[in-house]
Amino acid sequence: MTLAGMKEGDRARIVRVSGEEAVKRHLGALGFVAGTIVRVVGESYGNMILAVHESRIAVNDATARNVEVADV
Amino acid sequence: MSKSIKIALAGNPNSGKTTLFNALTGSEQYVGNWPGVTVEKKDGILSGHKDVVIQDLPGIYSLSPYSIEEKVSRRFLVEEGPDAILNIVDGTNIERNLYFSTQLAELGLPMVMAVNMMDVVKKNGDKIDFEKIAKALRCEVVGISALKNEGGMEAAEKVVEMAKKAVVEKGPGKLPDVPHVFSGSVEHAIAHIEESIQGKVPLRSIRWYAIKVFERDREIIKKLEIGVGEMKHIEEHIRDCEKELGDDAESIITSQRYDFIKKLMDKSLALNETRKDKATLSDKIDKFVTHRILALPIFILSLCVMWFLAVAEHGPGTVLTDWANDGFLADGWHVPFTTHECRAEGKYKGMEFEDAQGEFAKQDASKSAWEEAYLEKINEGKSDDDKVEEMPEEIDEKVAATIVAKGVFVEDEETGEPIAKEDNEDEPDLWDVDFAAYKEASEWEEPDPSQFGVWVPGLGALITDALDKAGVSDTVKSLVVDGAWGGVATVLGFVPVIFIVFIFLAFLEDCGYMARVAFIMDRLLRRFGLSGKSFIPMLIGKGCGVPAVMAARAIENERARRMTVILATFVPCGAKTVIIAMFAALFFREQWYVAALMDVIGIAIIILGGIALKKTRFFAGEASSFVLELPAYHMPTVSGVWHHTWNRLKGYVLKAGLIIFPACVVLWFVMHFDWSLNLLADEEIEKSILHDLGSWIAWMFEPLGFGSWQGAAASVSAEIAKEQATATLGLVAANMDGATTGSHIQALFASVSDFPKLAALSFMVFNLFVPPCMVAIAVTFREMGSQKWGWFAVGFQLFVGYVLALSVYRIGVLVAGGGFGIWTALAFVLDAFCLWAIFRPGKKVEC
Amino acid sequence: MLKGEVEMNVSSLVVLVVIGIFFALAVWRVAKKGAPCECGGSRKACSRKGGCSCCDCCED
Repeated sequence: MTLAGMKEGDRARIVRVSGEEAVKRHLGALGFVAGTIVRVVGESYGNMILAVHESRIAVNDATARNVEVADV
Repeated sequence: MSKSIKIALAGNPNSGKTTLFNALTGSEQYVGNWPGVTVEKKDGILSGHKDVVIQDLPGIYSLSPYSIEEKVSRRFLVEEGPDAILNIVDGTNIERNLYFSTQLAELGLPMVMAVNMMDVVKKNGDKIDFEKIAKALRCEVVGISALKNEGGMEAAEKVVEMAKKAVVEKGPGKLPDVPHVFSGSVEHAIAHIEESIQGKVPLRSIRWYAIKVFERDREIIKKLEIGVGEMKHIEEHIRDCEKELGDDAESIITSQRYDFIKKLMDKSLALNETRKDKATLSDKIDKFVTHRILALPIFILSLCVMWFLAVAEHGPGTVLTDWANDGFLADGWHVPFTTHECRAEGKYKGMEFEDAQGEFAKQDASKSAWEEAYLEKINEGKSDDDKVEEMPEEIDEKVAATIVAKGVFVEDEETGEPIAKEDNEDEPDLWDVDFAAYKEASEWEEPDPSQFGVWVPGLGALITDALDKAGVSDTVKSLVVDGAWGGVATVLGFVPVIFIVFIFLAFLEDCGYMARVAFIMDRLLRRFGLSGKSFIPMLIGKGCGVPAVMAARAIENERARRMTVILATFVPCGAKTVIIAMFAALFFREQWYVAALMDVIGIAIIILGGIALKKTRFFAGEASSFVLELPAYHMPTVSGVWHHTWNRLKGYVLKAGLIIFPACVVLWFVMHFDWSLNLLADEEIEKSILHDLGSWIAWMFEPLGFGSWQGAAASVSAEIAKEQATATLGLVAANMDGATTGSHIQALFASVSDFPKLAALSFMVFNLFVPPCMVAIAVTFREMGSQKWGWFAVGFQLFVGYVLALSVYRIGVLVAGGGFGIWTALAFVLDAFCLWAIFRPGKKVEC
Repeated sequence: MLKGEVEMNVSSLVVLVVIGIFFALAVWRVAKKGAPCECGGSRKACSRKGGCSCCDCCED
């Protein structure tokens, strides 16, 4: 399962982040590492606003598909 | 300054860094602000400590080389080496912020961590144990609230104290005590790396370097020049760790850092559980602002507000621009609310200023019309040498009595101000002026504005007055007034619009909405190879291309950023609007849509150009990812918005002095001198250097329908500032047939082409869509990052403008029955090439 | 209006010299530091072509 399949209000645990090296590194710095809990705050045409730690991160659909998650 | 203590201020974006910086340095900021590619490194002196410099680094999330800011910051921290670090941390999001802090701690520099927003933390009911964090990260920790100006100074004083102590006690050569955050096997590998790079790096930062080598950071490995054998050995250790932990080295470091922080937080952070997962106010606002359907209307509404403020008639932007152009920089202005009717005795008593001006213009028109007729009469039958050119002192009453001239006078439709007769191409009002009327008219003197209210003379008037009083010769006066000052004033006249746009943008940025705009627009712009972050520059481009190109810095994807820089200036800017207005009035009175069409063409070029560029190998590949932190909404502070605005405006003003001023002096020179450096009269412009220069390149414009020296000179001088095209045209057409400047220009185009309207349209299109003015080109070169890319951008813009003008003229001529020629064929070939570039299948590039 | 030799008097000369000095200063600065960066930094001091000493020259 990836972030792209989640709906507003869903919570999940990150398992793995794949994709382009630089973007992966940036996501990592923002807290997208294995084990972190994310919550979907908003969703619009596949683009998402996510709550990670105490911040809100906007990602597009392509990026969301690169983040593998599991149920909490 | 060499002995001063340097303190680096570092932290995540939106952690309150700028607020703290401004609070610490107050008004004593001394070195300029340095906005680069999203980089703003500011230096300021710590209030009350003359020997302490605070260096504000860009807000970043990590010291890995992801973005340009990160590279700049890390190079600064590692190589330039501040004496100590003041790390500002957002207390309401401490876990994420500490990720950066652990990296800073590894640099081995004295560090104080200022946990910001403690007021909010307390209000939320959370508790943070500073001592435990301090012990784990080997630094000092203090709580502050930058917004309320609490604790910041104490934190700064503490870090200064540490820096001073470190200088006395240790020096940089000693192995510092830094936190060890990784698991056994990773620490083991890092220890090995430390051993092999010893001596190559400053001892205090050895751990930071070792971790970077472990992450296989190419830049660092190259810099350390680790031998092949050595590296092979190190690589073995890294591989062992990767095998054991089942992940790549970089991910191992990232996730173990977060593991370390999580464990630390379990001990030191007590979150108020009732708050967990609850929607914040920002979340609720985002429900509307990023809503599927509402997002766009809300965004368009906010745009309308900006355009009302900046360019709407009677809006603050227009009022200020008029004030700057006509008042402050030109003749002068009345202080608002002090204006009244004329109270002084004389012809104007009881009149308002505008009426008085109108009356004077009318009388003046009568006077000059009569004088002209009189001179014509007395010169009748005389040879050229005997002709009287100026009004004689003594007027021949007998002749005068027979003369009835036609007075000509109109009011400007929009402003109601009188226009001189030569600017009027409409049906003029006519009236009779006999000798009595002439004598009456001669008695009217220009109304003195100080009789109508508190009058402040403008800079232009002051300069002219000063030159007159000093008895400066007409030539030098023309150089100063028409040449140097004219050009600089034109540029400065745009400052109000730019200022308002900048204030509005600073407000949108500071309150947090800009990040949402980028998010909303991303879906749309991605199709043209651009990013959501490209939209802001195009928006600004309607006002001025220079800040538009600068605003593209915020886009971190290099391809999207470069494309945005190339395309943003196709939006017709404020200066180009002047050209459109002039041509619409002179040539396209019946085609009301021409002005709007230019905006449409600009947008079409951006979309089609984006599609075509994306298919070239330079821009191929999806800019597939979009990641952006959305900061919580908050009310921007006045000082924050002001700092933002002023720092951007400053560079614009600087350029007026450094580029426009010398350029205008040179242009004045080539227009008023011939090659033997003889001064020319105004009507001798055909002997000028400018005439010859224009003639040499006129052939380039031949296919476009305006291949004369005048068209060439106007187009080239438009590169100084776009509105210069209209001014130059007016000057160089002065010898053409016709009574007014407008008819001169019409005659000019009629003289170069059988289809003057098409030639005019071609000239307008060419000047709107070739590369922007040279200030914008200079900024383009800088933002593109290299000469090669700068030329690429200018080449692309030149191609688009030329092909467009060529097609408009040649195909237009064909349709109008002017026949098919070699240039028509070329136009079709180039158009076919453009269509191919847009519609050919794109290269598929896998990421 | 502007015909023949430039008439010269002391004040004209002074104004010309002032303009000349400003012109020289601007050209000198641009020549020394390159076209101005918004930051007021120097372009010539940057190792990268077209880069600016204070901004983006650190990009690889």
